[in-house]
Amino acid sequence: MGKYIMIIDDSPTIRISVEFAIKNMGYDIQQAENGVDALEKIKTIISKGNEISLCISDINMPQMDGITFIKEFRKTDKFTPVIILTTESEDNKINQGKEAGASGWIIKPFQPAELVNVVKKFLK
Amino acid sequence: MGDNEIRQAFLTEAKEIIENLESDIVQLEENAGDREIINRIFRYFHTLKGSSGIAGFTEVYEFSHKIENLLDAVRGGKIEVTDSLIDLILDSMDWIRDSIFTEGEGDAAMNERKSILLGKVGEFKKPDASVEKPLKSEDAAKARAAAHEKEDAANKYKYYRVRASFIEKIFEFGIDPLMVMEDLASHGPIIKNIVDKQNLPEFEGIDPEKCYLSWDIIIKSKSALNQINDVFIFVKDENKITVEDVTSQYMSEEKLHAPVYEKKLGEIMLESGIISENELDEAIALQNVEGKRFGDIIVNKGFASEEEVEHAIKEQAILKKKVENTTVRVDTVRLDNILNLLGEIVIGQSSLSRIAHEMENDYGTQLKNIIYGLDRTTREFQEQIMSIRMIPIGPTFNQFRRFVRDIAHSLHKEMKFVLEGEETELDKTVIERIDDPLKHMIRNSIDHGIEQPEERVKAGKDPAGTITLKAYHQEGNVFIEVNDDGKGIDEERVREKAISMNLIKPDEEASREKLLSFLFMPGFSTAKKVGDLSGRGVGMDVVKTNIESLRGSVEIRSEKGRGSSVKIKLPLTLAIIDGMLTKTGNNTYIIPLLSVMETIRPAREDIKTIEGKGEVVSYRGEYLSLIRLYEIFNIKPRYENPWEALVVIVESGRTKVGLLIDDMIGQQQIVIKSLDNYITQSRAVSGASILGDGKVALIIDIFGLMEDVVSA
Amino acid sequence: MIIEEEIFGIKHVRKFYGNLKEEYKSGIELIIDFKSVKRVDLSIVQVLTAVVRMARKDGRVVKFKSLSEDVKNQMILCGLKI
Ligand SMILES: [Mg+2]
Repeated sequence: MGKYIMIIDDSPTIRISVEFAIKNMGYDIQQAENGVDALEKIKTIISKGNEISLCISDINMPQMDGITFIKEFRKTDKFTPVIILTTESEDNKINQGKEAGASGWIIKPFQPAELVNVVKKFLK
Repeated sequence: MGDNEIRQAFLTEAKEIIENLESDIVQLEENAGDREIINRIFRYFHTLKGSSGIAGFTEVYEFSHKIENLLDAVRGGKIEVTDSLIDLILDSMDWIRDSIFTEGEGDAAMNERKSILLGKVGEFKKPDASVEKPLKSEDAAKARAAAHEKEDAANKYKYYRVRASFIEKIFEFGIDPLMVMEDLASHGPIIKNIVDKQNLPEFEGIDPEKCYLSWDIIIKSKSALNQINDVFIFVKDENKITVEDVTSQYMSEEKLHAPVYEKKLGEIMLESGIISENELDEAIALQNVEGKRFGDIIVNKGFASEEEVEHAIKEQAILKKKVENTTVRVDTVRLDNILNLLGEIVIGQSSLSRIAHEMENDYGTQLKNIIYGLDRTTREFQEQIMSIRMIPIGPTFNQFRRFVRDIAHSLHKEMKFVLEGEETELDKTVIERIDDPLKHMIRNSIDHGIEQPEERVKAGKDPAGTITLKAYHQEGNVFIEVNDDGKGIDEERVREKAISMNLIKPDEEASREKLLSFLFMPGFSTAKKVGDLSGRGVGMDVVKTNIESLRGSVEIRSEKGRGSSVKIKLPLTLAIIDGMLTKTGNNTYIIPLLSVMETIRPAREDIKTIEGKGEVVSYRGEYLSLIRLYEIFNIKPRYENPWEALVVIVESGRTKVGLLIDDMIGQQQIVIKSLDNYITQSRAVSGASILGDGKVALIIDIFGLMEDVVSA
Repeated sequence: MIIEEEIFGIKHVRKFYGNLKEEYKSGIELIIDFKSVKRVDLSIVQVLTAVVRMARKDGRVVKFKSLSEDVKNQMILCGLKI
């Protein structure tokens, strides 16, 4: 049974950077481009008997933004931590994210080590 | 996968974004009001910003941040979509493209293009547009600098008290409080851990997906306060988390859990994990019923072994002993804080009493009576706190023994060193700063005052000279005297020196007091040959300055052939002064009462301008420099003419000046507030105080003021 | 009762709580084997604390088997005596 970390961002640069930072933490990694894409991929992962250990999600994305994604995700998964990726120009998003059920956040741009530190607050 | 791959991904992404942007901007030109398009364009810049930051394109990152802000204002309807706006967006896009794909960052021509574009961005922004948020990189730099300072200051263990209680639903945010507490524990050893389980229901009634426990922890750590706070960064808003630096309470020794109360056996065993909470409860219950000894119950019940109980009893005895001679060591900073807070109380009281005086009915009288009582309590409180700050001067005196011996030895003199009033207490800060001046005076006494043994014998004295250090309290001040039985000061030669320095005229009569005061003049005692003539050597002026900076004064007495005596007068504390409140313009200035000689209203003819001395006021036959306070502080006074205003005659050292003020308010004790947070523009201000009406009043530093004016 | 999870936490706590209830009712000696467990979370520790409390009241015993040092430390941090 695999344990997955989801990376959800419309920017491939960010997705790759995040994956680069956390790839050695012992989890399987799945990228998604937006909320809709993520929900679909999560469904598939679970249907194969695997589990989601963490989601790292952007806020501003086409089709389905991060806030909506978290709300949808929480309908079926109450406890998995979700870290949101945000920028300093959208600090009200942190509160919206928390209301939707986000666990933590990191501000872009970030150093790989910063991201790892945040992830380690939720996965040991 | 690495940096190069990220860069490559960014280039691909940027290319795609720019293509989309181009077509969207063109579309916007045709449908200026289309919100969808504006949102998309905003998002493109937003994404570009995020990705460029990650991929290391700093300039693009900063630039797109600015454009994003602009577009945010457009999105919010604050800026209209016009042709020139569209041009600007297109040009900005071009700049970004060129930066990434052709020119690279840092090119001069690119820089110029950038500043032109940013200039245009600025024009679009209305002056009232909300303040731009600083970029994270700038914040981060500041934070790093602060962290460095912290690191330097730290590297010592601190003690933090952390209280954490979480909302029941916390697990539904993907957060495990235990993980947070483990994160905390990783900062250092936990000295004390009280887990509150009161909210945990009985097993049958528990909702296993809710959080019930809370913590009260003392942790010893080298981490800075903000690092401890960062542990709770994701939970601090919704949950009850407090972190306090309690280092000063735990400082006393490395023997940390030095308890301030006596501990029960059960508590000791619980804290060291020998018995559980439930076992403790049970044992206490049994103890109450059966009246047996606690230790026996614990052993009988099998909660702990006999050895464990014995060990705990021993520990209890040790702790008890510690309690008995525990004195709490308190950082003086905390005392200062208490004093400051007390100052605020005093301020509040004076506001109250002002109101009471304005109330005309019975309530006013009642209130006044209450406030009188309160005043008394506050004053006593103040004295109590002051007394905590006081330490005996004995240790400081004693450390001079060796000093005296060494100097005497090197000068081939014999010395006796006598101490009096070692138990006299004074403010710790004063003691710390009195050290050097005292050394100075002692050295002078031995060097220039005490004669060689054979000379002393000839004069019928004991071959060994005596230096007496003496401390005592008198009228709310502390006096310290340095007395010697040497040859005293040769006044005649001081007089000659004073004449040669033009301090007095050859035919002028000068009192002994006046002559001796010359020894404190800069350059006087350090001048040639003075050493042997005066019996006072180097730099008495320095001593005087030091003492005055402690708001003290110093005087010399001497009897030819019998010795000399330097007497220092010091305030009991540096935290409170008696001040005269004065008004100039709309401001209140406090003049230390110590420096005030008199307040006069000069006649018109008392004010003159004298060449070389400037404006003067005639006072008791002397012409004193007139300092207009409002000029020093650059404010508008009520009166510019001295004969309409008041002149306070103040003195520092032997110099007197007149200070022009508008009016006098009264006298009161002033708690000095540190001026650390103010930028003092001149040396004329030594501190500040907060008045009853909440206004800040500056405390005038007479010495500094004179220096400033003279040197100006 | 043997715990199979490595990371034993909130996602398993409801089921664990149910099983524990059953086993307690059955009256057999409660032994919980943690040999596969690398970490627990607070929800698990809370349930354990409550069951230990109840057992003590009823004069029964709950035994924890094969606790790793890490898990032991987690429990100590939560004030659960082992
Ligand atoms: Mg995005």
